[in-house]
Amino acid sequence: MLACKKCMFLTDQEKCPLCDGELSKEWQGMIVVLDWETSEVAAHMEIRANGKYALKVR
Amino acid sequence: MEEENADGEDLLEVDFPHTIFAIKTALGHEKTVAENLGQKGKRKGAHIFSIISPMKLRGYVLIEGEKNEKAIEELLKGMQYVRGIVGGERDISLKEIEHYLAPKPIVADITEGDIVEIINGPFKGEKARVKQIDTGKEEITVELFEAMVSIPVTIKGDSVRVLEKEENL
Ligand SMILES: [Zn+2]
Repeated sequence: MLACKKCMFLTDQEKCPLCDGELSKEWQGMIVVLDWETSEVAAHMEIRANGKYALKVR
Repeated sequence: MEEENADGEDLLEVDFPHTIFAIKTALGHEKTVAENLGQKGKRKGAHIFSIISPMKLRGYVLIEGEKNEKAIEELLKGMQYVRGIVGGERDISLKEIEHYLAPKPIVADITEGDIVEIINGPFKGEKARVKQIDTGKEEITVELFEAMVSIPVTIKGDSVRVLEKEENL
């Protein structure tokens, strides 16, 4: 899995499916968002789509 | 084999408050637990909003969801690497975990002109002055004090320790 350098979304694709951003294999931590509309944590992180995200990307 | 809710079972549906709590996991399997729990939670329609595995929190995973201990225990039952709910589902506030969510950039504490000691890599132990900072890449360019010729060297922001701040010099 690679992490998007812009939005931190984790993906196996070549480009970020959410924002088209560049991907990096240097990432740490993880948040799995199941209900971004209800999640306070997702709101805090400005996440607006369900899925897996890294907490830190280099 | 999934168990279907019998009709009418939800007649007394309660609104559970939202909370964040920690579960204990086997060391090194935090992300696996987060991913598996995400899949299982989705499949079972569990009232979980997010699952967090902070890099600095070893052996724990945080769950944000409805405060419904029975439902959570049911969900965790039989899950590999899960060791149970911590401290009777103690509530954790968003404030308490904020620092896990947006870690401060590694180079945030370093400013141009600072004197640093290099703590790893080929220049370990050398002292240097910070010339330039690339926050995006978390890299800094330094000039070594002991070098015969002053050549700028670019290194990762976490491979130095600040000895003296510019403003104090
Ligand atoms: Zn992205």
